[in-house]
Amino acid sequence: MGEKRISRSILREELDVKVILEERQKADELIAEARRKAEEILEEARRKAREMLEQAEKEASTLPGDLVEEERRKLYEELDKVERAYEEELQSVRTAFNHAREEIRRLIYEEMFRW
Amino acid sequence: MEQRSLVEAIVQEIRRVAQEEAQKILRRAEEEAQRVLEEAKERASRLIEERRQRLLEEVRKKVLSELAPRKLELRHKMLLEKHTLVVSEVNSLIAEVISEIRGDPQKYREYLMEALRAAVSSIAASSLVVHPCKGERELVERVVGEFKESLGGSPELAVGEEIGCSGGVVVRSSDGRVYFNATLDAKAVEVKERVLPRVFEKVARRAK
Repeated sequence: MGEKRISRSILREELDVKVILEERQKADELIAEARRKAEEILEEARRKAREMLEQAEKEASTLPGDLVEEERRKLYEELDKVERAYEEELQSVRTAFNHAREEIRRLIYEEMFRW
Repeated sequence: MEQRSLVEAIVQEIRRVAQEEAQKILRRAEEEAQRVLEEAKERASRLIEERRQRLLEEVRKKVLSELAPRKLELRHKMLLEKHTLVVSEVNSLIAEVISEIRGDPQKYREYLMEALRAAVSSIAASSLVVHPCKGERELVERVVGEFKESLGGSPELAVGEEIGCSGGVVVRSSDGRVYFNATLDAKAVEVKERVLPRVFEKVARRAK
């Protein structure tokens, strides 16, 4: 009777160890699966990042036409400004001459009699 | 029974720890993936911006090189117009003044007297001939007569034949070697040369 109890106890312990080892095995598998998924997630992110950069390279290789046009428009506007500034300068010369007209006339008159 | 519940507790603990670890691994992966994507997004937009700026700079340089001759042309045109404007206004004023002098007998006489005075002091000769413009012989003879009175005999002055000019006189030494051009046309050119630099300066000062 005593021997039977001992061997049952050993059996029970072995069974418990087996249960624990199986659970450890499952835990290891769960963690390994999580690592695999994590690697997939990262790989997917890297792939998207590469695609994003490739797309950016494509987009950046040419300028959109409207940007070019906008830039040309701005520079031509500057030329118009220069032209307007010159016209204003010319107008201010005209105005200055008109203001000085009598003085210049007197000067010419005096010079006509100076030798 | 105690043995049984201890094993179950160990099993539960192993399960809990494993699940926590798995979740932690996945969470870190998600965070890392997010960071990788954000970095890529930032690099992509920086790359687009940098390249666009470079391309825009090239476009800008190209357009500016197209515009440079036009700007220069505009500048030249403006300077020329400014010059033309002032010269043409000065010409008009000189013409006005000359017309005023010619239209006023007293002023014209005064002009002729001054012209004779200048001719006499600039030509070193004992005898001079005064040539009037067409149609002004009589007037010039009168003025020369008046002028002679102020001279006191030297140099001798004679009125020569009329020449084709529009106002004023030409005085020459009687041997014809020295000429003094006091026609209104010649005087207009001289006055213009003298006053233009002063007018430009005056106008530039006022136009500022």
